[in-house]
Amino acid sequence: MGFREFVLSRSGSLYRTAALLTHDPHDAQDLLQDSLAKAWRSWDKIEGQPEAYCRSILVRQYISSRRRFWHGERPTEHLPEQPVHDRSHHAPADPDSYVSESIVLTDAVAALPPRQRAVIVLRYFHDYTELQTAEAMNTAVGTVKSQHAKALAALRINEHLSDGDRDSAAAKGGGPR
Amino acid sequence: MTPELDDSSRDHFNRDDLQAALKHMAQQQAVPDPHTVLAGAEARAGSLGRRRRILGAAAVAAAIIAVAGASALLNGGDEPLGQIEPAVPDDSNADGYGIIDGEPQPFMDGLRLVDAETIESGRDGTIQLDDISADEPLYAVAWCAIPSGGDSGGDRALQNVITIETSNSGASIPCLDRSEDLNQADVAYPVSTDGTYVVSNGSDDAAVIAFYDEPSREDYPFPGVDPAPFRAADPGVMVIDSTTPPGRAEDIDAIPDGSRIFRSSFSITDEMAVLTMELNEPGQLLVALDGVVVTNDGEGIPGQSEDEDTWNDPRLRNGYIAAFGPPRQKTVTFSRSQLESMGVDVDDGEFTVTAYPLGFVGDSAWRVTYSNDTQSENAGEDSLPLQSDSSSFPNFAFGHRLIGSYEVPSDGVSRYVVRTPTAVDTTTWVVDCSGIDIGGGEWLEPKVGTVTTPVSVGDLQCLSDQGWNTPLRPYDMREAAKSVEGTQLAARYTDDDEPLTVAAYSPMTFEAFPFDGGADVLGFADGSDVGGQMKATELKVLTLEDLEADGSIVFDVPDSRENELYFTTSGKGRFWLESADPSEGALTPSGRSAYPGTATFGLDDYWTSWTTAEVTWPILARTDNGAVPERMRLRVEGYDDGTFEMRAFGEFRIDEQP
Repeated sequence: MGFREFVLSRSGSLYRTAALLTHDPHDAQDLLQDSLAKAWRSWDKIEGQPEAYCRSILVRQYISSRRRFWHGERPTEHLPEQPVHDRSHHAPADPDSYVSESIVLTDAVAALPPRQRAVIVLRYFHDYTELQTAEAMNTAVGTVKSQHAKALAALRINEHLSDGDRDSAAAKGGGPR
Repeated sequence: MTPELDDSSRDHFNRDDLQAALKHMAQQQAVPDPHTVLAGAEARAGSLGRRRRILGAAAVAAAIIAVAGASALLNGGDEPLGQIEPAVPDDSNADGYGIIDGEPQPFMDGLRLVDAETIESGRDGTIQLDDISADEPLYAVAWCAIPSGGDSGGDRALQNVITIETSNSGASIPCLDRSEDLNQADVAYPVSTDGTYVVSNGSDDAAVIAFYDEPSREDYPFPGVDPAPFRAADPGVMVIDSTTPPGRAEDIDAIPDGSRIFRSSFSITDEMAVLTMELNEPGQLLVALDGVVVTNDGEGIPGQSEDEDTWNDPRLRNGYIAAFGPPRQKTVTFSRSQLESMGVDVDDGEFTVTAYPLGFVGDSAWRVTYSNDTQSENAGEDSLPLQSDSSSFPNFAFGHRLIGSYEVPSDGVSRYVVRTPTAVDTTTWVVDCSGIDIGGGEWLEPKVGTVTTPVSVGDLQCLSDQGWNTPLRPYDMREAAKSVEGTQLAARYTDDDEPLTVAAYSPMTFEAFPFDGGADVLGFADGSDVGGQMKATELKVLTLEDLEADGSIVFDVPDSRENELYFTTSGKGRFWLESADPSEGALTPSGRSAYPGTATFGLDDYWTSWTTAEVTWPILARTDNGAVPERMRLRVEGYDDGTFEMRAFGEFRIDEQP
């Protein structure tokens, strides 16, 4: 597949990755175009899937560009206008709290440090394995594991919590939802 | 402000919530028109950056970079000039190296300026050189803004890295210090068949990039000579100079028969040897070691074929080290193994050093010294001695042997190491991170230093969650085997004056590595975590008992979206993985992101844990060609007194589980 054909067919998917990482449409487009420009220079040398290759460039570019400006806390300007979920069959007892806390989750993802955010996006949006994530980020699996664990802790994600558990807890009044 | 998730929301969400949130976030973004994206990408790929062509190839004499322009880039035009420091001539650089008043010199160190450009920080620029032959050496030199002082000054050596890419090659160089001699560490030699060079300025300030070629001696202005006498050779150092009884050449093709040569024998008693060539007036000097010309940088000279991986040293021409004006010196550090790779018989440790001077006016204008000690040009007063007591590092780690360590002052300044460990291209560098406050969060993976070799610059980093921290071995350094001098270390500037301790390791063969060496040996930690966070389904288990008589087995890989193989081993052994379809290739550790040291830095392409302890680790079942094989071949060696188990997992979406 040629470079142009690739961009015309796959830039949408890559843009979503960029948007999830940057949380800003303008930054996302800049990041995407910079990454594609870098990929273009090596296009003839790409082995394997060009989309994975480009996504790897994009993630690394994002992380490196954020390192310089990171000061431990990043302001978030945009709050989503809708709740994260649209799963009516899991509608909470108190819809207001559902909305507000889902917003918190969405915004908390955007506020993660760059490497943690990259791990979350690759693992949960793109379904990358830990090894794939490590290769995309050019880091060790151990680093992915630690960043992943920290991100889940920051997001208050319970890996063992099922929807059924939560609904039961809510029914018993044991949870905030 | 960071959103708060208070304790009341702890454990409130699960993975499905997170996936749904990400999906929702992505869907909220309107995807831009792909044609717009394409146009933007193409524009950036072909970006000229901030073009400020200084001169054309045919107008060398008019070479000028306006320092005002460069300064304006740095300071918005209001600050006084001088951020780009002028080169200051000193005793060793009689005509001044680098840049004077913001202008790359039209002639420098035997090189001739072809073109120059200023690139802003973080930007790319394209330089087109239409009159340059890809077959002729072309050198790129960079100067960056040099802060006048203060804390940031110490970081300069760590930050200023320029990369150059062409359609044929890529290279990186640090910014040239005004006080440095020009050597291989300072220049890049990018090859371009179309004359296009894309320069990326990764430094924090504007950089001046200049391209130089090698003119003939006739085209180079003769500077006149005023040779100073050489300082006395250090005790124990062997010397060949004009006082050595001369002989006549007859056995080295690169030296015309009957020419007057100077020759002496030499015995390498240590692992390393140092050969230094000194010229204090314009002239040329050929030096051979057991008939192998060591002043050759891959050019096809008589008796030695042109090397396929020709590299270029700006000091070397046609098999000679050449001085065009100022005093010239080149030091080559050899290990016995490198000499052997060059075709020298090293069995008896005896070597013949031959010197053939050409074109000097004075008899005392040249000298060759050699020693088992590593006292050399690079081992000046400010160089870093090798510490033999390196108790903070294991003697053996992940298939490597400790050579020694260096205490690197935390001032950001690059210093030569006194003793270049074995070969540059196989040395792995490891930082003692135990006393380092990585601050700012582990995700930062802060750079704590750099290793600069003749052909690369690499970052030293500290990661708290890796047993061997982040070992660094510059990769893709085919040329480096012949460029054995000039490794430099720098540590990031800090206020506490604590030096950075950096160890050098050399790779060992699988057979020689002491797997069961107790506390002296670092391998995988006992009981390494297999992860277990995947939605993986165990599909197959193989043990030693399943293997054929030759230790191999071919097995089917279940069809899932991804397969991971978890290996649990104990005892000394290794294994090889490849697709059963030869066209799909092997699963080799080289270059893969795996646990540190699995075999990534080993000498072969086998996988091993480098320990006899029972450990488990995963490998992604994907070949180096990117293929996910349907059938694989596993070949196991060793583990005679231990165990071996492979568990294959497939990853499935929830609704695709078998």
